[in-house]
Amino acid sequence: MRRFVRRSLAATLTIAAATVVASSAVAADVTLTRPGLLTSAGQSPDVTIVKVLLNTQLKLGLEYKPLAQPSDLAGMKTLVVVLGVSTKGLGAAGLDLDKELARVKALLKAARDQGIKVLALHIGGEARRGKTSNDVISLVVPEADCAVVVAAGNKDKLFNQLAARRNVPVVEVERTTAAGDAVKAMFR
Amino acid sequence: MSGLRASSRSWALWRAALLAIAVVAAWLGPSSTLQAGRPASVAGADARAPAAQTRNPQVEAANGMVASAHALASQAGIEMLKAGGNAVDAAVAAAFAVGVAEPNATGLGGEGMMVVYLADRKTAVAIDYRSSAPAKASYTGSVPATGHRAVAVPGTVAGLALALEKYGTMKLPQVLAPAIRIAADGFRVSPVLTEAITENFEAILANPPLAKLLCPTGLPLEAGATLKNPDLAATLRALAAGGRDAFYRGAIAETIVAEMQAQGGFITKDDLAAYAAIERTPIEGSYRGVRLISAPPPVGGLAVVEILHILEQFDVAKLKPFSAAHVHLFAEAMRRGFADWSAFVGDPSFVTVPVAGLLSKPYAKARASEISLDRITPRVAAGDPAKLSPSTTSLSTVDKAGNMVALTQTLSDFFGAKVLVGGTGIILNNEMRNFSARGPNALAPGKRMRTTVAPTIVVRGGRAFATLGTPGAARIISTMTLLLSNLIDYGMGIQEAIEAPRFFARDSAGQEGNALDVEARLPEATITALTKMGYTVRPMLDFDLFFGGAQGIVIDSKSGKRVGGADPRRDGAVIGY
Repeated sequence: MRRFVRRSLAATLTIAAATVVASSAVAADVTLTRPGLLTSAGQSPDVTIVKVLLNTQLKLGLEYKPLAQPSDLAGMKTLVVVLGVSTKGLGAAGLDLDKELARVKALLKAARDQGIKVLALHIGGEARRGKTSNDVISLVVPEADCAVVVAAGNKDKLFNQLAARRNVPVVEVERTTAAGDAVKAMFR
Repeated sequence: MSGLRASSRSWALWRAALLAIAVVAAWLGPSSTLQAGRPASVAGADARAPAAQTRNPQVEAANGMVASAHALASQAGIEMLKAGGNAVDAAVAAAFAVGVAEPNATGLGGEGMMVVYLADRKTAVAIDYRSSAPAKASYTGSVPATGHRAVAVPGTVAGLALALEKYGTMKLPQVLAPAIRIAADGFRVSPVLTEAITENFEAILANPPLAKLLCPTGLPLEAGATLKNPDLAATLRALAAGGRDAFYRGAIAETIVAEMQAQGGFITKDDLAAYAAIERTPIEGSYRGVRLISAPPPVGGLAVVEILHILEQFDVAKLKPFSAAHVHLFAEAMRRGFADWSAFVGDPSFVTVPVAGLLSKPYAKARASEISLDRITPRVAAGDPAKLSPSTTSLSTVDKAGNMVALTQTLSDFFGAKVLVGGTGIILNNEMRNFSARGPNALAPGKRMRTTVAPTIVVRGGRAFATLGTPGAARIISTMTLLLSNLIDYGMGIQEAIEAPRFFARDSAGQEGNALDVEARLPEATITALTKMGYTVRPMLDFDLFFGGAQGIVIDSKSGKRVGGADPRRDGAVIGY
């Protein structure tokens, strides 16, 4: 039992340290520029909340296209991808998960090809985890230039594990509003 | 059987359970009587109940118990029991309280159906406080999902007041006190409520009074925030002072009508004044010798009992729980129950529902004979019961005397019509969407629309055994069927029965082909086998509130202990004393 506790503590401290380091790195290294495109990966209503947060409240003026296609990236400098699957949202858009994953994959490839920075954003907490949302997160985070996640959605440190593969910095915040502040700080 | 017992998850599950206990205890304060039970046997006496590890603890108590969708509502009910009230007093207090603490699912602007079991008389009564169509309601095209034209005349206040007056022992001011306190002091927003607000964010923003309550910064209230509703506290105080007439004839009615007139809604002063809750005879059936008492038309109890009657023709207990054979048999029975419910059920004040035929055992036998155990019926049509016929929160309470209440209330969709009546704190339902274009459920002035709610009481050996209910829209019928079968066929404990994996199938109307919605933790082999059979299996989350949030209490027939369970899919909590 003691060994278990020690190991758990060590693992937790390691991941926490990595997150802090990554957070510092973000402030120093990740700079996002406009124009930017805001889209969804999974069609959850979180993308609408992010639109209100970033555009209405923080006045970032991102173009809003939940179902963005590669052609929508023309002239863009940044792609903000809001992560989280809603079965209802996919249904309303006439999509299933496979089609949505294919759309997002194509979008990420186009962004990479055009040198557009990608910001992965997860604000939905545990409600936007689970198998389908994890599929989307696993697709986007390793391809992103930075990930911002509200802590309730990263209790298992999945974002850190995925980000570690390509040294993607992860910013973990406590609240949605703090996620907005973190994103705003990256835009110059 | 299921992932519930997987040893690799056991530590995590127990940690989650302990955390849940700590959270609920913290909410309730030092005087909490919450009992964190070890997994116990439901049927107790009934002996076969296996110990199971569950997300939420199963709770035991000697005297009385309340299981509801929110810890504060359960606590409200327990306050009444401890003060000498009966199960009806507790249910009414909990129902008003849950209307404050679970504003997405229920409230003064909604409606419900209650089944009361009177232990001394060994009889039951149903109180129908379903909403009704305003006299002037009419639509060109489909009924809108949101806005003032979606709203039906609310029944909650009339129903709860009637129940209290006829079967309770307390007065309105006493049972309303906890709800007033919660509305005035506020309560902590749960992740489930945050998710409900998020899912409906745009529609909520479209109604400024509702947005001010739920998105005060322009964004959804986050989990952990405090939600206060002082306008609702004032409305509840007005009810405490003026009784039901304060709502249907007094200042509250005037405010609702003024808002309807200003926003193009249908509800008039006459609609509100004419509204009355109705006492009905519950429908009754039996399943393997157990008496089932459930909510009558125009709601879903009839479908639940019919499905169980069909299942009774098979030896369900011999089927491995959640195997493909089990799921397929239940899916076929559910599809027949739904087909008949859709074809025949409407407001009994307006149409003749062939209740006796639908609930007759020969009819169930005929329907069962249509089922192949290894093949999907391509399309299920309604049966012909006439041949055999001469005719979204839920809570449960049990008191010391063995009286029981099963009650299900709803606003229809989460946050109903997404309309908050300015200055009252009341969120209005969108029940008008539940009428059909034609048939027994077609719209008519004053008519009550059909819904699936099915609060149910189970009597075994002449004594009250269980009270159960769940929200969940159409899934109410499948979930209630599974709960009852889990208890009766498989002898599960109440908490285990509630947490067991769920699935849902209905007749083809509104569903694509052989669609089968399942919780993703259904065994992989089952999903593979069902897919091979031709089902379009649609996995949802492991614990998905799509399938409802059930509550239930059973009375152990040997010890007399009250044993309660609440659903981890939502914020359910059981408290006993």
